[in-house]
Amino acid sequence: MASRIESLNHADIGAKNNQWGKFWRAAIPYIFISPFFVGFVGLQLLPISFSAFLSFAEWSGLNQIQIVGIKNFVTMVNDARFWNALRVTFTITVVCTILGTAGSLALAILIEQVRGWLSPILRAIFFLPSVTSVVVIAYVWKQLYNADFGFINAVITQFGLPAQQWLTNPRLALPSLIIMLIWAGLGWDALIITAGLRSIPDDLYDAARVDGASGWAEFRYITLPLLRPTLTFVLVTSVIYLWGLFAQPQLLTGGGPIRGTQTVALYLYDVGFRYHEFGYASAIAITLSIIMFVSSYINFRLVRTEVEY
Amino acid sequence: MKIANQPFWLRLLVAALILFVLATIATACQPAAPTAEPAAGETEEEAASPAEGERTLTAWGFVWTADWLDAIAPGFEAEHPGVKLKVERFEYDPYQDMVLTTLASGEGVPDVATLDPMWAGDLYRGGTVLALDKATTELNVDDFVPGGWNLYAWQGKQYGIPLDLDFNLLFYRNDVYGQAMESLGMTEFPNTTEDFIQLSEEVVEQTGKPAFIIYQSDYYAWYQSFLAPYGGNLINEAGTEYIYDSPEAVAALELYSDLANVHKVAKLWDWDTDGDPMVALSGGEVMGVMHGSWFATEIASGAPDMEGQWAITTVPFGEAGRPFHSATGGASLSIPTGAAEPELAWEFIKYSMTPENQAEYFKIVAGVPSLETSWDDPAFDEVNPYFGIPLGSQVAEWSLGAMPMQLPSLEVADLIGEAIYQATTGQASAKDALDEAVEMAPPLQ
Amino acid sequence: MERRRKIIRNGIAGFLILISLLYLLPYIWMIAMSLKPDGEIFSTSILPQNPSFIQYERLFYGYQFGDQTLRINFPAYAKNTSIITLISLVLVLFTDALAAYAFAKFNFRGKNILFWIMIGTMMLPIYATLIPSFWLFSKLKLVNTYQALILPGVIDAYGIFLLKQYMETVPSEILDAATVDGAGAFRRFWAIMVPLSRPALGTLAVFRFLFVWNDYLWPLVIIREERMYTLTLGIANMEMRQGMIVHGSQMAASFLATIPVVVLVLLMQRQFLRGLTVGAFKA
Repeated sequence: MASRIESLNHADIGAKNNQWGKFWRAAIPYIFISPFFVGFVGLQLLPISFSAFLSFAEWSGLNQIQIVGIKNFVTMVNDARFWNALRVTFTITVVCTILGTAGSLALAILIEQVRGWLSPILRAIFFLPSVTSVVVIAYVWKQLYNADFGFINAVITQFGLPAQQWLTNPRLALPSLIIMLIWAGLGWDALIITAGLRSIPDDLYDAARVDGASGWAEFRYITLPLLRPTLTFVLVTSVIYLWGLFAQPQLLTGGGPIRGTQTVALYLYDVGFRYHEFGYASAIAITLSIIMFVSSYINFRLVRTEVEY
Repeated sequence: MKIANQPFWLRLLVAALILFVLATIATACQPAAPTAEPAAGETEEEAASPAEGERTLTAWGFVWTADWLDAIAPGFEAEHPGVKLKVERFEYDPYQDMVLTTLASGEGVPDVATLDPMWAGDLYRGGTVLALDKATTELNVDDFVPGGWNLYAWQGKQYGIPLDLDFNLLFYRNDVYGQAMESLGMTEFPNTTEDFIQLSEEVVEQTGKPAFIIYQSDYYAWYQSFLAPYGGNLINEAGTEYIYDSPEAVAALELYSDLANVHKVAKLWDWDTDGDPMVALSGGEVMGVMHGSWFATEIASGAPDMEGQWAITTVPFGEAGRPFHSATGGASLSIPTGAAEPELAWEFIKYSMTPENQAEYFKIVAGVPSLETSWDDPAFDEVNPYFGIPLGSQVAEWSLGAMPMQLPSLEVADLIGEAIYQATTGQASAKDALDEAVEMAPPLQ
Repeated sequence: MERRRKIIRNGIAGFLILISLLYLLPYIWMIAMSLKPDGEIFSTSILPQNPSFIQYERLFYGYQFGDQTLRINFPAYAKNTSIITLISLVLVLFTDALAAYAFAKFNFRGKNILFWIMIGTMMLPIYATLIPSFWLFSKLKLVNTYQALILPGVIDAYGIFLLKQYMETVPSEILDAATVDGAGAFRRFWAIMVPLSRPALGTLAVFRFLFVWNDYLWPLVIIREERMYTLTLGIANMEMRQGMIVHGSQMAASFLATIPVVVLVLLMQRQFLRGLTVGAFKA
C-alpha cells in the first residue's frame, strides 16, 4: 500500500508561489471532496440525526412532532413483535453466515481443483444470483416453492414424499427462506474466497508437500490460517447484510406466516410505512443501526490480526 | 483543443455543465404529470393551469368510483361556471398506498378523496382530513342510513360523507340449503346461531362438503359477521379504548373457531394456501361464503352457469331479536387537510349527495348508497337475473340493520388477524389471543 | 499418483457440474415459465408444450381480460431504470474519484477526521436514514421523481475507499512530473489519475450498476406511481394485480431485466475480479 506519508503535497512542486496560488492549492483537496461531503451531509448526516431525534418522539407524518423521551424504547422492549423480529433475524444471520461461509469455502476450493475452460464457466454460473435482482430471485423461488404447482413439490411427490407448504407452514417458512438466501450468496462469497486462495503463495504448498504433508494437513495449517482475513471479511459482510435483510422476506413471504419470517427491517417498514408511527419506527431503526454498527466494528477489529509467514 | 490542456477552472466549468445537462435531460425525460391511470377508463384532464376565473377541483377515486365521478362532473361544472373537475383514477391496491402517503405528507393532496373506512380511521386521528363542520347544517342527516353516517364520525365531528354501505351478507347455494331445510322441516331460513349450525350440519351431511367458508386471519370477515351481531365493538363509545376483548368479542371469536374446528361446518380458508375461493365456489366444493353486496357481481361473472342456484340473506349468526346483523364498511368522500379548494370541495360533496347522483352511483358502482332518498329510483327495483330478486332495494332494506363500527387502524387489523389465527389453530384461547391483541395495539389519541 | 489425481479432479468436476445444473434450475424455470402460454402456467413440467411469446407481448401491449385491458407499463420501467442507472453511474464515479484522489494524494487539515467519518458511514445501514430521507424528499416535493431515485445512491463511501486504495498504488512520481510541467490539480486528476485508475473505476462502475439496477427498498419507499416504477418495483408489483394470471409476464419481465446485468458482468469480468482483489478486504 503506497504510504500516505510518502506522497508529498505535490501541488507544492513547481507551482506558483503567490498568495492566490497558495490559497488555491490549499483549497483544492477540499474542493475535490466537497461534492461527496455536501451530499453526505445532506443525505446521510442530517437524516441520521433527524432519525435519532425522531426516535424520542411520536409522529404520524402530518401531525405535530411530540417529544416523548424514551417512551419508544420502552415500548420496544415490551413489544413481543419486536423480539420476534429480533429472533427471526438472529436465526437467519447465524445459520446463513455459518452454512454460507462453509459452503462457499468448500465451493471455492473445489472449483480451484478444476482446470481449463470449465472453471470460469462454473464460477460464472454460481455467480449468477449475485447479479440478479433480489426481486427476480424471490419471485422465481416463490414459484418453485409453490405448494400446488411448484417444481419442488412436483419433484418430491415423484419420490413418494408428501407435498409441503413451503411458504405457508409456520415451521417451514423460515428454513425455506434460509435455503434461498444461502443459494443466492454462495457464488459471491466463493469468488472472494477464491481471490484469497490465489494470494497464498504456491511455494508454501510445495514446501509442505516436500515435507510429506497430506491434503488435509495442508488445508489445516496453510490454507485456513492464511485465509483468515478473507474469511473474516466474508463473515463480516454476511453478518452486516443479513442483519438488514428486507427485500427477500418481504417478497417471498411478506413476513409471514404470522410474522414467522419478519425480520427487524421488515417490522421497521411496517411500523413506519404502514402504521405511520414514524417515531417508533425511528427508534427501531436506530437500534438496528447500532446492532449492525457494533457487529461490523467488532469484526473490523478482528480483521486486523496479522498473519506471519 | 485538448481538454487536458485547458486550465483547471475551465475544465471544472465544462464538467459542471455536463452534469447540469444530464440533470436537465433527466428531469425533461421524466414521464409527464399524472393523467388518469390506464385500463378501461376515460381520461379527461388537461394539466392546464387555470385561466383567469377558472378553478380546478381535483378528485380521487378508485376504479368504478372514478367512473361515477366522471359521470356527475358535467352537472357540477354546469352549476359552477369556470370550474373544472379533474378526476384521477386508481386501481384499488396502489390507491391505499398513494392516499396514505400523499395525505400524510400534505403535498399534492386532492381536494376530494374517496376513503375506505379501514384506513380512514388513521387519517382522522392524525388530522390528515378536515372536519366537515357544515355537514350537519347543510345536509339532512336523517336522509342517511345511520350505519353509514356514523361510521365516519369521530369524537363528535364528521370527517366523511358516506357513499355506499358495504356490509356482509351470506351467499349460499339455494338448491343445497333448500334440500337440507326440507329434510329438517324448516320453513324459514334460520336466523340464529343455533338454528343455522343445525342447518349447516345437515348440509355437510348431505353433500359431504363444507357448508360455507370462514376466512383465516381476516379481521374484516370476523368483525363484520360475528363481532357486530354479537353486540361487540372495536372501540368504545367515547373513542378512548379498544374493546375487542370484551366477553361478546370473545364469544364471537370462539364461535368463529368452533364453526371450523368443533361443529365442522365451515372451511377455514387461507388465501395463501387455498388460493382463490371462487374456484371452490364455482366448482361446487363449498356451499356458501360471506361477503359484501359487491360479491353479487363477482359470483355472477365467476360462476355464470350457476345462475339461479345462489341466494342471498343476512348473516345468520347471533341471538334472536338482535338489533344488527352486520357492521358497515364501504367508502366515503372526504376533504384532505391542505386541499387547494376546500370550499369548492364541500360544494361538490353536497352536489354529489342528491338522490339523482346517488342513484347514478348505484347504477355505475353497484353499491347501495347510504342516502335513503335515492332508493326511490326504479333502478333499485330491477330484478337481478342471477339471483332472481330486486337486489338494489333488498340490500337497501337490509342496510338499515347494519351497525356503524368505529374505525381502527391497519395495525389493529393485523393484530386481530393474528389473534384469529391463534384462536383458530388452537395456539391460544380466544380470550388470551384477543387480550394480547388489545395489549399490543397502539394507543388511541 | 497422477492418475489418482486425475480421477479425483474429474470426480470433482462432475460433482460441480451437477450442482451447477441445480443452480441453473431457477433460471431455466424462469425462462421456461416466461415462454408458457396461460394454460400451462400451473403445470409442473419444466418445459412448455406449446411455447409462445404471449407473456412477453403482454409487457408491451397489456392484458386482455374480458373486456378490460390491464396495462403493464414495462417500457416505462425499463426506461426509468436505464436512465437513473446511467446518470447515477456518471455522478458516482465522478464524485468518488475526485474525493478518492484528494484522500490519496493530498495532505490537508482534517483529512484523517473526515476520512474516519466517511468510513463510519460505510457501516451505517440505510435504515437509519430511510424515514428522514423520505420525509426530506417529501418536503422538497421530490417524491416520485428521478432526482429522488438518483441522489441518495450517489453517496457512496465504499467507492471512495476502493478508489483511494487503488490510487495510492499509482506512483506519485508521474503526478509530480506533471506538476513540474505546469499541470493543475484537476488536469492531473483528469488526464493522469483517471486513466490510470481505470480498473478500479471499472469495478466500481459494475458494483454501482448492480446496486442501482437491482435496488428495491428505496424505490419502494419513494415511488408512488406506476409511470415512475423501476424494473424491480414493476416486477414486484406484478404480483398484486387482482385476479389475473400475471406470473408468466412476471417471469418474462424478470428475464428481460436480468439480461443487461449478466451481459455487463460477463464483459467486465476481469476488471471486476481484479478490483475485488485489490481493494476489497484489506483493512
